[in-house]
Amino acid sequence: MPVALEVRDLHVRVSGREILRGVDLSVGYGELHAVMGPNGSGKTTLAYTIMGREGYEVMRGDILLDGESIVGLPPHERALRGLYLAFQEPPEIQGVRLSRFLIAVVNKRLGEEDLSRLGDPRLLGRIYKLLGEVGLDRSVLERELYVGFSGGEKKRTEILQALLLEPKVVILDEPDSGLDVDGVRMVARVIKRLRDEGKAVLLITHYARLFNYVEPDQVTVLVNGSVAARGGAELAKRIEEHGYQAIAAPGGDR
Amino acid sequence: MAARRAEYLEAARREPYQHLADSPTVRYYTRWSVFEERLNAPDSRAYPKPPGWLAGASPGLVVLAGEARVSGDLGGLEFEDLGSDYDVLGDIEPQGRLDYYHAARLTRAARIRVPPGLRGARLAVASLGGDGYTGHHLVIEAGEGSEAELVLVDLGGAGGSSIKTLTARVVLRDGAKLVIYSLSRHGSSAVYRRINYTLHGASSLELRALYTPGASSRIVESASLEGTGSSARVEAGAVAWEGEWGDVLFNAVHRAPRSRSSIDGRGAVLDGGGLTLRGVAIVENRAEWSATRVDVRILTLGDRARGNAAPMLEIHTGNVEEAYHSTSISSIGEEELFYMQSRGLSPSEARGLLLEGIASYPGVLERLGLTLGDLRGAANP
Ligand SMILES: Nc1ncnc2c1ncn2[C@@H]1O[C@H](COP(=O)(O)OP(=O)(O)O)[C@@H](O)[C@H]1O
Ligand SMILES: [Mg+2]
Repeated sequence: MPVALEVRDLHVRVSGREILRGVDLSVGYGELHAVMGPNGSGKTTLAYTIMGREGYEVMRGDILLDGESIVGLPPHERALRGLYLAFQEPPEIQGVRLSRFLIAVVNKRLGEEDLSRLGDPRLLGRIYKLLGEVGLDRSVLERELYVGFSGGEKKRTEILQALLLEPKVVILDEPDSGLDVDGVRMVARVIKRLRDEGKAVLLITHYARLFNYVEPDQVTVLVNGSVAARGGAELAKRIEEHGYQAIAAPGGDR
Repeated sequence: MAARRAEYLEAARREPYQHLADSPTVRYYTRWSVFEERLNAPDSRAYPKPPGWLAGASPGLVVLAGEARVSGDLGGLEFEDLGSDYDVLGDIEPQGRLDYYHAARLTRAARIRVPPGLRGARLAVASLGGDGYTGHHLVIEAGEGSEAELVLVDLGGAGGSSIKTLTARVVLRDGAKLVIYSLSRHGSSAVYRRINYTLHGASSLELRALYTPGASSRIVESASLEGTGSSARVEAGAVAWEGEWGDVLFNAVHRAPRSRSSIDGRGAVLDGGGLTLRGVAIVENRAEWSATRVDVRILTLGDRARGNAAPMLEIHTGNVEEAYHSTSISSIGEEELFYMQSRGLSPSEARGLLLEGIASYPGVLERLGLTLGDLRGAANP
């Protein structure tokens, strides 16, 4: 399968501290690549760096989308090239109702000049359908973005956008944390669907419970900012059973 | 008449702009100097046409400019032109220089009455600024048990030296319901606006206001809850662009038991602009079992954007049902910006969306079928 996203020897500094120290990985179209690792191992840093967050300095290495480096691009241009990141903890955006936000981001992709006008009324129908699929009530549309949302509502809203915006590469940063069993099943279903539609999916997760419902094609384990192990679905199983100690090589080189 | 005007003018010279400084550190939130520079402006001679969209706002329309004009279907509402010699200070207790100045120079006054028991009446009222000084006063009476909706459009004058004063006394009799959609667009004008609302028993006022200030705008909306069970609800948005400076003050004074007030203000300031939103709620001793809330938030969109938000709550009774206040001033955070960028919006598009959100908050743009873009830059959109 053709490579969609490739990360090469990535070294990243945040606030003067080196957080990622040489990370390599790649995701092909129609592939699910899981990135696992204990808390603080640098998973979110990797996601933010791929998305281009300010202050996440690439000291060495490269990030390629469809074979082209995107390191010099601002986040919105990366997004428009087909990258999507579902945030682990999306921020509250006061004053902007969810409906208005969704219309604006879809309009932007359609090249509409007026971001706030609902151009095609069918968009609302699509949004309603997706709300049902991710298990959200229509009333969330009238609420200010993420203001007073529960953890689960936030996750579901991030997943909804992954479906609505039809990106090429979907990065999901702990999409299942804080969700009940039904929520986890829903996330797994969406991941399968994205993969079946030929999207490249980079799934960041601390726990392996999602893999009871969807099997990753590749697993990369990050520990302390570098790749500690790589394998297939069996590696995720091993971590679930024995924890991260089991794969941090004996003698530990950290 | 002339003698009274002369006397008020004299008082205006003696009086300070305000008797107390706003705070020990920021002396004044209002840019009085801009008013000072324009006090001697000649009476306006030329007025712009009322904006076209106003015609569709309500079946009937009252336009105050150099004169008062009525058109369309008033739907049972009563209108009276009170002329130019009306004694405003009989309606509005003077509090500083500009109240006397306003009373001395008044251009036009008018009265609008909602007869007792009349329901469903709708009217749009526009106060237009001219090329020099313009002063308007309105008396609005909502009769017992009446229900009405008013659209109040308050526009600044054209040019860089215009000044406008606007006062109103709004009285809601027992059981009256009044909804006011208020739009202020002051452009480059200096505007002093003061509206007093008096609420009698079980009456209810809903004020939905969007303010876009001028070179200096001082806006005071004061509700006096005199009647048992009366209620005042304010939802306001404000946007100050570069070179615009607004000081918006909401007062709610509870003077009767079981009265309720809520003040929700959302403001946005851009680089080179300044905006103050203040909410003051006072619950007097006899106003037992009243409920009040003040929630004022300002978003600054730029390093050179100046925002102030201040709440004040004074409770003089032991028994309140609810008393809540909160204010915040925040700038657009890097995290929020990154989030919106990650969805494909450029930083300026992200800011625009936040701004639209705040401007749309009170529902005034929606009611009038306008977008924020329609207001941008134009004193007379
Ligand atoms: N903005 C930041 N400034 C400094 N250090 C940070 C910042 N963000 C994260 N870190 C540090 O980087 C490390 C990796 O964090 P993170 O990428 O969030 O890990 P994970 O997502 O795997 O839990 C942690 O040690 C964390 O404290
Ligand atoms: Mg994380």
